[in-house]
Amino acid sequence: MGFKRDSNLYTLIFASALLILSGCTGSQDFNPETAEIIGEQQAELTMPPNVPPPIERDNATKLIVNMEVVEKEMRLADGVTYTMWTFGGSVPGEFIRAREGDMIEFHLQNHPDNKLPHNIDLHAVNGPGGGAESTFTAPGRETVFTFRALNPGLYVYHCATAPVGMHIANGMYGLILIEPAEGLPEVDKEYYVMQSEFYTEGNYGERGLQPFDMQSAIDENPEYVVFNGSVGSMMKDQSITSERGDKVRLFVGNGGPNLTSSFHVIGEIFDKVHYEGGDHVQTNVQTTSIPAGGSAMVEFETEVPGNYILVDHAIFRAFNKGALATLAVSGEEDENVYTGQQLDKVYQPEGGAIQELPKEERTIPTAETIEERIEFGRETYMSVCQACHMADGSGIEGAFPPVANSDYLNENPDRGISAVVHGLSGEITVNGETYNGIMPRQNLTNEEVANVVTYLLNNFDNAGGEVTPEDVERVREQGPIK
Amino acid sequence: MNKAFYVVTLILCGLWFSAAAQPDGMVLVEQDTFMPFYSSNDDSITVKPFYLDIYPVTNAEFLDFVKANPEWRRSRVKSVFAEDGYLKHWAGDLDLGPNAEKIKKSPVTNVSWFAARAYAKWKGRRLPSLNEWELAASASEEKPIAGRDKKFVQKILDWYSRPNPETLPSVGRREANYHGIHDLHGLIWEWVGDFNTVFISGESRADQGELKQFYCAAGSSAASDIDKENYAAFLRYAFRGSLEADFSVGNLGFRTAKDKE
Amino acid sequence: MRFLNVAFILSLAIFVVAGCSKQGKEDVSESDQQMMEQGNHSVHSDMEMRSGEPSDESIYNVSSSWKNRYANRIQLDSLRGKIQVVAMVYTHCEYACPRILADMKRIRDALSEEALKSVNFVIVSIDPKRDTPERLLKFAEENELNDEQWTLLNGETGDILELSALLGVKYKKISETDFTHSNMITVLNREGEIVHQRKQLGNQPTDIINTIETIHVR
Repeated sequence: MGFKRDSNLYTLIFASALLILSGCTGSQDFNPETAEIIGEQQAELTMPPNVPPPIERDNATKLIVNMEVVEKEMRLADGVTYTMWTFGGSVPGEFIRAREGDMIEFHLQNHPDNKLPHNIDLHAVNGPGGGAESTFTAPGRETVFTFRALNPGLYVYHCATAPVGMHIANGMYGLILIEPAEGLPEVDKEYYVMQSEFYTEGNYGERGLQPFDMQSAIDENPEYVVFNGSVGSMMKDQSITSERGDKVRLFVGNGGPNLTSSFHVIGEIFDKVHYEGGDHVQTNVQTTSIPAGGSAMVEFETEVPGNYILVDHAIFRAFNKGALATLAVSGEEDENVYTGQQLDKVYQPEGGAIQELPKEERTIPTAETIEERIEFGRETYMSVCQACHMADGSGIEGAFPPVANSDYLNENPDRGISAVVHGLSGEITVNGETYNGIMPRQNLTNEEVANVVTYLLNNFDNAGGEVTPEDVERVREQGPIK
Repeated sequence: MNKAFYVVTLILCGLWFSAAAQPDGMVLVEQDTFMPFYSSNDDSITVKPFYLDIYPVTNAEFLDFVKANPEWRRSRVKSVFAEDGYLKHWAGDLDLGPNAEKIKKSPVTNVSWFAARAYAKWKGRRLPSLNEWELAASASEEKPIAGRDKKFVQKILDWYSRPNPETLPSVGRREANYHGIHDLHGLIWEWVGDFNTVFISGESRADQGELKQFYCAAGSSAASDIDKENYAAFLRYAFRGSLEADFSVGNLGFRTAKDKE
Repeated sequence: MRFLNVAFILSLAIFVVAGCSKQGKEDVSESDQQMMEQGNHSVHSDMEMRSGEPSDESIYNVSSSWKNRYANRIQLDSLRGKIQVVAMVYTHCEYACPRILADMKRIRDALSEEALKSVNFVIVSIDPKRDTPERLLKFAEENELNDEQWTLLNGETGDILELSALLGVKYKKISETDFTHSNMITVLNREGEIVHQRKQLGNQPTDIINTIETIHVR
């Protein structure tokens, strides 16, 4: 009897203690709405591609965010500028990192030299307009509102002042991360990447300050699709980096205003994707879809050193509109994962059932004059070369060398012939820039190669001259030259 | 013959009369009808004839005003009428500062609506109404209503999307428009008397009612006459919607208007 | 041994409970403190005496002249000395204005007797053509707005515009019979300084009531 009563009491106390414990401190029952706010601190904001350090706090706090709107002319591509409207002076805007349960006091400052009123709609806000209503700010003023970070995740923020489309098209978007109370798993490198489009009056690459073009924005036909606000923002010495074996996390957003991104890293498989920036994780993903005004957190391990290209796999956007970036992975090779090329030899299947079409069957016009050669060459260039070397011959910085005003070509036109007939790999220097890519051998006749190289020599500020089919044949025989 | 002569004389007299009555530094904007960009088709607005300043009010002119009206000096102005940044680009109450020569012919900015209104009153004039301003500003160099003129509209849009220069240039450096008025576009924003009739809240996407087109203008194909012109006007209306009467903004000035007797 | 266990868990439970309640208490005291600070601030600005020049922030710096329901001329600054609860509406309005008026009545009914003594309610018409003094008188009678507590004003267009600018009220005539307008209720302290504004319909007027209860104490 006595024992039994004791036992009951014991159970009762134990159960109630458990209940209280879990109610008060258990992390599963963490309630972001009622979590105690301890202290206050200034949020550290970073410009892309950088991300503020992970949050060490294990309590909610009052987090003060100061964000200044600045309208300024910025680089969109080489020789091309655009008047960007920015959150914090960069496109995309500064990255904000907070913790679930934080009380975020948001200060929006509109620089006095700005021309227009602005506001901010943070998708991380529960409340009308996501804060837009409370932050409508004339130039030279500051507005403040406070919201509680109730839902963990990666959220887009953007300006929602009329005309909204124009404010977004001019660069007014960024990302805010609300870390879950228990934090994110530790990784070695974190980066901030945001895709967006620009609608300019001039065509892709047309030099000078380019105004916004309303009609092409309405038609959803951008001249530029870029990562982090400009063509080549993360190329060459600005590439994002990691070391072999690093765990990398990308916070990827899409500012739009119109297109959905098919986000892909060439040569990587995402081990984990928090698709749509939410809680759910998909594993082993090749390409993840990021809607305009949406995000994803992707994680992967960089097992093999080398350059990895970030693209929108709607691939013309990558090679023709600028949606390219580089992740440079350093370290020792690991042949257990990737060997690199081990063999390159002639392949002759037995029986020879599949053969190249006999060259004679292709209707290749024979150029009678150098003018014809140039004209035919132009056609070949547009169908074969232009995708990488661009319509204006400017190439793509860090990836594909320019053929315009090219010292590499002009010093020795045979190099051009060789690149076409033999392909080209390894390091070359063009106009002072180093390129280390691979150009595949092109399946073109001597006549065609002569035409296209002659076209190059006589266009794009090159030195002029004519290449004949005999020259091409000579270089074919001679083997690759650099 | 005689009758025709009589009529011509009358018209000439009338012209002379109206020219003579023209107030100093102003021109007459004739009665006209225009379509504000947010309107549906039957909502065109007719504006009665009025006089409008040829140039925006300059720093030098505003200096005369504060000299004559000490209560509008920077140090004395009541905070209910002008917030802290009032005339902040001046060095002192009556001092345009080291750039005086450069800015005296530039438009005065950093003035509140109350101050602009007081200036106009002092001159025996008033601020133009929003519709008057919009009518006058829809004229290109050649046409009184140029809303469909792509080049005209693009020039306005380009200015809207460029940040302010460090110091504002003098007034009158651009060509006058059809009415002979300068700088309605491309130099500063301007206060209008009824600026607070614009119902753009911070949450532009939720603005309801008669101004529904504000957000539809972002490319609704249903509203076929919504084009770039509307985008330029859209930006102006949004700007006005962000203002309160005591604000002093670095690129916001004004000009005055007057009824035609 | 078992006893020890029980004691341990008991004490643990008590400790945890204490932690919880301490947290709750702090929350309460913090928000109390905030409220007191706000209160102090308002009281302070209300301490200035009603005499001489209006303060810098006072709307009584404008000297506009209005007509009340009896067509008597009154100056705006004759409202000085009492707390004013102000709305700008038009009497033909069928949707928002009746709700604004109902809210003003709710404020009146919720105020303590003490507070009510120092409060006056002001309705300024944005439709001066139709809201003549006669119309205002009729409107006041229909809605039981007594003369001691309610001031109804008819004025010139320019003065209405100026007052709306001072209060941050937006309005626009959209047809011969209708206006759009902000649904703002403003509380002015005795000096005519804006101490509180409620910008939208639908919020409980609790904040307004609390504000008045705090500032009416001299």
